[in-house]
Amino acid sequence: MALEDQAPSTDRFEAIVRAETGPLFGVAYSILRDVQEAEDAVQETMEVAWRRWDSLRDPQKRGAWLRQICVRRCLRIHRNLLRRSWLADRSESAASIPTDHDLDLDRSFRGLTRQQRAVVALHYQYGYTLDECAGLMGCRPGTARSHLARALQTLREELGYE
Amino acid sequence: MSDEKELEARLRGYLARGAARPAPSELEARLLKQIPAAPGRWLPQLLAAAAVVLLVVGVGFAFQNLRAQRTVRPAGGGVVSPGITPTPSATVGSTPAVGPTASSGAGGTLGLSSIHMVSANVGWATGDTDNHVNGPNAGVFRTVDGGIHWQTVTPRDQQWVDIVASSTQPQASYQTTAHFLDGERAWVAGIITTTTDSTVTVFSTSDGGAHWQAGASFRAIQSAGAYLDFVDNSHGWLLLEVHQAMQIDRVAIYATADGSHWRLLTDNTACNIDGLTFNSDSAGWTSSACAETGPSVATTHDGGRTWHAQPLPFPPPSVESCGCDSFAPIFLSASIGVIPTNGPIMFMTSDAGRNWSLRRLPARAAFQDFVDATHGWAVDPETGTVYSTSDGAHSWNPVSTIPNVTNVPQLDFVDQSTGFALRGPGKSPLLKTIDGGHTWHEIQPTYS
Repeated sequence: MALEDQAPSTDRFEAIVRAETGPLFGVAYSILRDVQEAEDAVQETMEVAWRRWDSLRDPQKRGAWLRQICVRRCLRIHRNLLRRSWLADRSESAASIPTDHDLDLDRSFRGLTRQQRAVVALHYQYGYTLDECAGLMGCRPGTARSHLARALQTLREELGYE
Repeated sequence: MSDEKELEARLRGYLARGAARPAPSELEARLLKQIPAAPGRWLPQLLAAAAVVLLVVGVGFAFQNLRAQRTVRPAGGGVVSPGITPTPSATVGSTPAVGPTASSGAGGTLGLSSIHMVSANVGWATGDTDNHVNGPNAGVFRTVDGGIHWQTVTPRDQQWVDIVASSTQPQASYQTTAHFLDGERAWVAGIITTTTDSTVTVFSTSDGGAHWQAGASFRAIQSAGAYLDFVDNSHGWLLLEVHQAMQIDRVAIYATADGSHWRLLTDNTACNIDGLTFNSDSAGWTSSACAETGPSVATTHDGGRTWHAQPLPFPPPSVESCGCDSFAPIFLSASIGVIPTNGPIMFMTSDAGRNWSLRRLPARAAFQDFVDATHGWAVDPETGTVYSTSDGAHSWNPVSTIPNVTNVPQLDFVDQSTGFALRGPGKSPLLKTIDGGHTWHEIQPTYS
């Protein structure tokens, strides 16, 4: 293991930010469907990663490690209306307005709980098994399975597949 | 295209478009600008200063610390004390069970997935061994020496033995879930999953796993979740996923009043499949992992025939989200109970579950464990910080840090002083404390 992997230099961490911001934002946005909250999740992920870099035992798993932190951040981000008003000058502050052309699915998906959205996105978009989803989310496999079943049931009902 | 496939294709397309959404251009720049303000920028200076201090102080302590092999550093305010790895003991008081997992006794590496200690010395665990005879996490183990050595006591499931011997179903797998009532009495659900469904057989023991009695078998969905709970030798419940249509779990609850004959109580569609707890032959709870209104449980007052949601005092998601799931309650006495979560909140009752009150924990502290109404612990699954409370979860203090925790750590205290911890499922050492969580000593569990 290279020493630089254990203690990231500023340059190295900047390279990581450049390489991982996009993919992490994709994960966060897939779950949160809100640009501001996804930005917050990525920012918190990077802050945690910087503080806890020495806990990354296998540099080859850096991407998976960051993704796990990001998923946890997504599940725990609290809506803070006051903070959001301070952030209103962000260029994409209105980006939480649905932008997907499948408006019905978008509306139904946003109505799911955050855990349900997470397991749906991780399972169907990123190909994780339910056991792996549970690991990423910090819950038990049965719980992840429940969230997925409930999410699919809700989508079926709301989109007229029953 | 069927409705099911059409929905899945539509969903995959929607998710792919979302995942491909580019990050706002200013995000990366903002993150890069924040790096100079991050604590890590101070690290070299901080380390240099700390090195000087440690060099001076360290000389004084050097000789005293020669015996220390591993040290777990308290997170705040605690005393740093060295721990010594106990030497494995070869003596176990119970007779090995005859079963597929019984090994040669050489004592290989044991990966524990969960532990249930009933005293400082006696306890049970589920997990995996090197030989993988039964499959990951299918083994049942028992210790009488505080977790140093574990005796394999997995019940022999003849149907599984036949499958292994015939090699006709190479895709079949075996899992177990268990309920441990005390140091001698336990029930295990052996789950054989084939390419089409599962068969679940309930086994019971009253002599610490030396002998098992095979009981009823149930047909269930593939890789079914199964949860057992007993309040005494006779009265027990089995929660089982029995059918899956359109990917909707149907959860059946069976009950026995004599420990061997089971009857179906309900098979209503539900998603409460993450635990089951009774504290009498009539009052029970399931965790509700699918609540739309935040953490909640479902409860019964008629022995499991009828269930209704029991909302917990937590703000709706529009106001606050803990991003967490509630687990089935743990009753410490007839009236005192705790609903742990995998987030920084929990719930307590002092009236046998009729009312629950919210307790808040430090950010990210989760996976709570209590030994009485006042003394409890929690762990941050990201940093490994262990918190303790001695006032019924009204206030929490960091007492130590468990390094290298994984996603789902487990704390298991048997009294105010003695407790055990798993960093997470896998072949990591077991951790033990005898001072209420201030210091932890590693145990590398062996099995036979």
